[in-house]
Amino acid sequence: MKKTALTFLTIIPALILTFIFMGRGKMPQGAINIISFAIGYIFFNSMLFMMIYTKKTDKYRSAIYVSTAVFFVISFISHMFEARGSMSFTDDVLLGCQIPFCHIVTTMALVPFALTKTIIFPGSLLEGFAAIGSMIVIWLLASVTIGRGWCSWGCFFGGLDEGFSKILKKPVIKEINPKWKYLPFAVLLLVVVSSAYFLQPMYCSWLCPFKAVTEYEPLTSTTAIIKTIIFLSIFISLVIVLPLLTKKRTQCALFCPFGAMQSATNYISPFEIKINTEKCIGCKICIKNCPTLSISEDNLKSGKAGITCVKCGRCVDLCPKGAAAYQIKGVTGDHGDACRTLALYAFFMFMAIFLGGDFINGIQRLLTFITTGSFI
Amino acid sequence: MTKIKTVLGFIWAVAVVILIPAGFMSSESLAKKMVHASGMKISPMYTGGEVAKTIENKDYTTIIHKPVFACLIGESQKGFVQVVWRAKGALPAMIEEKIDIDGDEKPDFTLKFDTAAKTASFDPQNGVATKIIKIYNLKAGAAVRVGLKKQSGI
Repeated sequence: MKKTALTFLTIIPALILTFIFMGRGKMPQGAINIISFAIGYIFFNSMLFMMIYTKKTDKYRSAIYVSTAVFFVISFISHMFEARGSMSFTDDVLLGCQIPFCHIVTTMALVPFALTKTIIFPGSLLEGFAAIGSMIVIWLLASVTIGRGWCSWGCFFGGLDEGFSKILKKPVIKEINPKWKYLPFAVLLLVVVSSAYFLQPMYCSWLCPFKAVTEYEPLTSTTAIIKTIIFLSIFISLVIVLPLLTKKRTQCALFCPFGAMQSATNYISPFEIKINTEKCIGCKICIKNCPTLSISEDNLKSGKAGITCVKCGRCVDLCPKGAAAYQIKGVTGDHGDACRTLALYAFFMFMAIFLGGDFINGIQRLLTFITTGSFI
Repeated sequence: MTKIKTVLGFIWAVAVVILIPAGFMSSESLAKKMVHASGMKISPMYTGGEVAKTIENKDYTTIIHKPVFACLIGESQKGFVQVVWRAKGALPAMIEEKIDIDGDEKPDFTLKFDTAAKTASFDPQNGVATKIIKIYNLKAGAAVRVGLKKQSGI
C-alpha cells in the first residue's frame, strides 16, 4: 500500500503535465474525442506507474512505443486520405511544398542549409502538418535532452520494427556480426554527400522503408515504380522479416541514418546506461538481448553502453545482478532510484508530449471507423 | 570534486526534465524565431524559384519563375525555368508562351503545351533551353520545367 501511494505521488507531476499536453491544452469535445483522450491518457500514465512501481522499464515503454507506431500509421494514412484522397502525393502538393517533414530528413538537410540557407525538402517552413521549423526545434530539443533515447522514446517509426522483433520468443538467427552496427554510419555518409550533391533528400527519394506506410510518389513513371519496389523491399526485409528472425531492431540498428547521427547527441544528454564492472558477472545477457547491438564485451569492461545505445532499458531489466543501470553523467555514489526516476521522467515526458497526440488520433480514427465504417 | 560533479549532474538532469515540457510549449514560437533569424527558405529546386513575371490572359494566368541554377556552392551550369499556367476556368487546348530568360526583351524559346495530351515542347531561339525536364498536372492548370544551360547574362 505504501509502495503504491509513493509511486502515485511520484507520477503526480506527469499526470498533470500529460493532461495538459496530450489534450493540447483543451478539453476534448464529443464522445469519440473524450474516449480517445481518456484511453491515451490512462494508458500512457499507467505504463509510467508500472515502470516506477515494478522498477522494470522496457516492457511498459515498449507497450507505448509499439502501439503508438501502429496508431501513428493509422493516423497518418487517414490524414493523407482526408487531405488528398490518397497515400500518394499529387503535383499540387509537391509544387505547393505541402509534404509533411520527418525527422530523418534533418540528416540530409543540415549541410545544404549551412551552405545555401535553403531546406532541400518540399515542405512548409511554419504552416500546416509537421512543419519543418517545428520539427527541427523538436529534434534539437530531443538532442539536448534525451540524446539517442529518441530512438526508443520519441521516434514514431521505431515501434514498427520493435513490434515485429517481439513476436517470436526466441531468435531464428542467433548471431549478427556486431560490425553491422556501423552500417548506419555508412548510410548516413552516403545520404549526406549525395543529398548535398544533388540537393535532394536522397534517403527519402530512394531508400526510406517507411514510405510503405506513409506516403509515396504516384506510380506514373518507371522511376517511381522502381523506387516503390525499393521502399517495399527494405520495409519487408528490415522492418518485418529481419526483426522477426533476429529479435533485433534491424532497421534502427543497421540502416537508419538518423539514428547514426543521433548517436552523437548521446554525448550531450545527461542520461546514460552504465554497467557496474564490480557487479557484472560477464553472463552477456545484455549483449545477447540488446536490440541495437549497442553492448559488446569492450563495453562491459569500460562500464558504459556503446554510443549507439537507445536507452530502452532492456539490459537494465534483464541484468541478473543489477549491474546495468540508468545513470546521470557526473553522478557518483548510491542515490537509490533518483537517477532512474529522473531519466524515466525525461524520456516519458518526451514520449507522452510528442507521441501522445498521434496515439490519441489513431484511437480516434479507429473508433470513427468502428462507428461509421470510415477512418475519416 | 565528486560531490560537486554529483550536484551538477542532478541539476543538469532536473533542468532537462523541466526543459522538455517548456521546449514543447514554446516550439512554435521558437520555430518562427529560428526560421526568421536564420533566413531559412525552401530550396528553389522545390518551389521553382522566385516569380519573375505574371501574365494575365483571358482564360488563364501565366507565372514565369526566375531561372534556377541551384548548387551547393556557387551556381550550377545546368538549371531550369518553371512556367505555371493557372486556369481561370479551363486551359485552352494549346498554349504557346514566349519565354525570355535573360530579360533582354527577346524570347529565348517558345514553350508549347498541349493540354489534352499533357505534353510540352519548345522551339529554341538560342541554345539556352535544353530539354523538358518535367510536366506537372495541377488541379487547376499545369506547370512545366524546362532545362537550361548557363550562359552569360542569365
